[in-house]
Amino acid sequence: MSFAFWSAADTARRVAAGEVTATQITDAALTRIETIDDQLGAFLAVDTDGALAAAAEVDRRRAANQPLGPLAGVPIALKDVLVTRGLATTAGSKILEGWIPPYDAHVVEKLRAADAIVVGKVNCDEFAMGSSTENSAYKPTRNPWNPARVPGGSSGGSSAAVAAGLCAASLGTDTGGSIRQPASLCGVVGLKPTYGRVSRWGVVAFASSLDQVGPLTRTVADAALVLHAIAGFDPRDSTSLEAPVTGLLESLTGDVRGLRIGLPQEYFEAMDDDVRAAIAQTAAALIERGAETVDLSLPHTHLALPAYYLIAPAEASSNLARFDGVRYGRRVEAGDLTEMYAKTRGAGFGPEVKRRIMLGTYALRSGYYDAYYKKAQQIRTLIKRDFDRAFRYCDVILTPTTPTPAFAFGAKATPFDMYLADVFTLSCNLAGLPGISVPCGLARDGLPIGAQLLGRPLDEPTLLRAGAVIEAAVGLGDRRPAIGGAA
Amino acid sequence: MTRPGRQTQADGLVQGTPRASSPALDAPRDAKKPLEDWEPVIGLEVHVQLATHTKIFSPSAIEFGAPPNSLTDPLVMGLPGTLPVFNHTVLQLVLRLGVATSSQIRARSRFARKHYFYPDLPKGYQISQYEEPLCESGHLDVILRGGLKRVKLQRIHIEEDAGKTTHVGARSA
Repeated sequence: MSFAFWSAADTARRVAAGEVTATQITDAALTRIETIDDQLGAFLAVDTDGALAAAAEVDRRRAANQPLGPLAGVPIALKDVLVTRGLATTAGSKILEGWIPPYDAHVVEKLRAADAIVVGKVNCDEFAMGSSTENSAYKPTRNPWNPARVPGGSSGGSSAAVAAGLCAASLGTDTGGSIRQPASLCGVVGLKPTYGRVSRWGVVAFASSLDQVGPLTRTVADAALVLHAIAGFDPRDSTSLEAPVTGLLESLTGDVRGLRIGLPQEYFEAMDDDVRAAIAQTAAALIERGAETVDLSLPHTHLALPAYYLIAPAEASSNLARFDGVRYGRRVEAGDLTEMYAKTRGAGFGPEVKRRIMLGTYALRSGYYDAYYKKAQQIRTLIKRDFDRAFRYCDVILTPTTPTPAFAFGAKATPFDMYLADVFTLSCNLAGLPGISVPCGLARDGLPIGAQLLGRPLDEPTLLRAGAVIEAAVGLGDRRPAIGGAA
Repeated sequence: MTRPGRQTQADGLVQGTPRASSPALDAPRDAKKPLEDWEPVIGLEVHVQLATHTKIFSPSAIEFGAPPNSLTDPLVMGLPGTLPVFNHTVLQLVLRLGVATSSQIRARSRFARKHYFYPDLPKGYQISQYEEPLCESGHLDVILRGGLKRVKLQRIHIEEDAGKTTHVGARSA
């Protein structure tokens, strides 16, 4: 029996019912990682011993008739910006090579408490800066649907591992689209929660005012299940929201009658023809099931990209100051302290990280704050107001997740070309809103296309409800990728 | 100081103001009697360690003279992924000081990151206040030579003190 494409919900249910043991599931996942990941390059570290020990503990508790958590026996991979006790955490960077953290991120504690099995750490762009995982300092990750294409990024290991059936779910982080964009390119579901919904304690910081952790899964129901497990107030994160976590598991009613779907004209200007057709088909499917569409405008959309590429590098330049070679990670020895700092950071950071540190340091330079960072924050307020106004006329906004399906390695010739891959996903982070990408068909060349839904703050339930209807109507069904799909 | 004149606060702590009756600035002066030509205005930067039980941004305890590394946690070590959480007792104590010194107290005050690379600074920045400090324009009245002297307080702000880290070879404490 192959468990590879079982959903997280099915896996937990069958483990709880005693149809299969957590150890069988975990063994199978570890074997698949060992045999398939050579073609994929998703994993940076596999925690064989930790996973088997956790599985044995679940099975022991099952045998003793003790209650099991909602993710009992579910194999989950973690983006390598999530800090794991006793398990190397690199953030995709050489500067953290060899660092073994002494603590678990809040989301990792929550997953363990839900009896999930952490199978390993997965690849990403260095410090989550990128849209293709090509900026990883370790290796490329391939798109399971076509190994000549990128898996997206920065959570490219997370999306590839789930798409190829190496785990049932994964966690990613999303600062400007880094969950939704790779989910779209790999044909999986990716949910970026409302800012503050999930604690950032133990998330290696990129841009603190934008970063959020969320699930990548093969079904919308699994996204609800994993989000339910990791969301909620954490006193260790001052931006964590105290709002109760409700309505997620009950959201999948299949009923979108009367739901008002906003179609913002600014998101339908330039895109691939197949993407345009797939989103039109998605809107039509929602209308057929009783939803209404509303044409609207988010007039400051064109300012999202410049504002984002000021705010994110500015915050990154500050957050990455701690990587100085003094206490952890890589150090390049030198004659004196200043030289040691310079050489360590020169050797430890890759080109995109250095570019953003320089951009951000320049923007925050004494006397420049008002002209750059403050101005970008003002744009952010305008973008937030666009959404506030739009949500008076609609309940959820539908757009493509990305302008094109997965692109080839090396296809983005300049950093700016790469930045444009996130043009539809950035506003959501600037406004702090929840967003989800749901597969909505394949392009003519067989690559997945994703539909993005954006919602009101804390209204993940409506995103999940509409997302599940899209999944049922125009989702990928039983279509599986080239790598891993045959199993 | 060879060229007297008013400096901005940011330039340093000592401000000198020539008396109205002072001689031409470039004229030779008697080095032994500088105070006849100058009115000294001396600013002080005073650091006060607050008597809290735990650290300003972490729940670890404070204890003078405790053994090295006995009062640490991932945040104090500046480990990746950690986040500061403000100790509200600090706020209460500084508010008390602000009221006691008749300061103007802001309803909205801001922390800022002050960046520099230094081995005693695990995060690469100190959390301090720059714009919008909690208290401003207070004063302290003292009796001096039988008269009342008012010491003006430009600002009272809150910041963390990095403490001390020792690095010996590959070991840090």
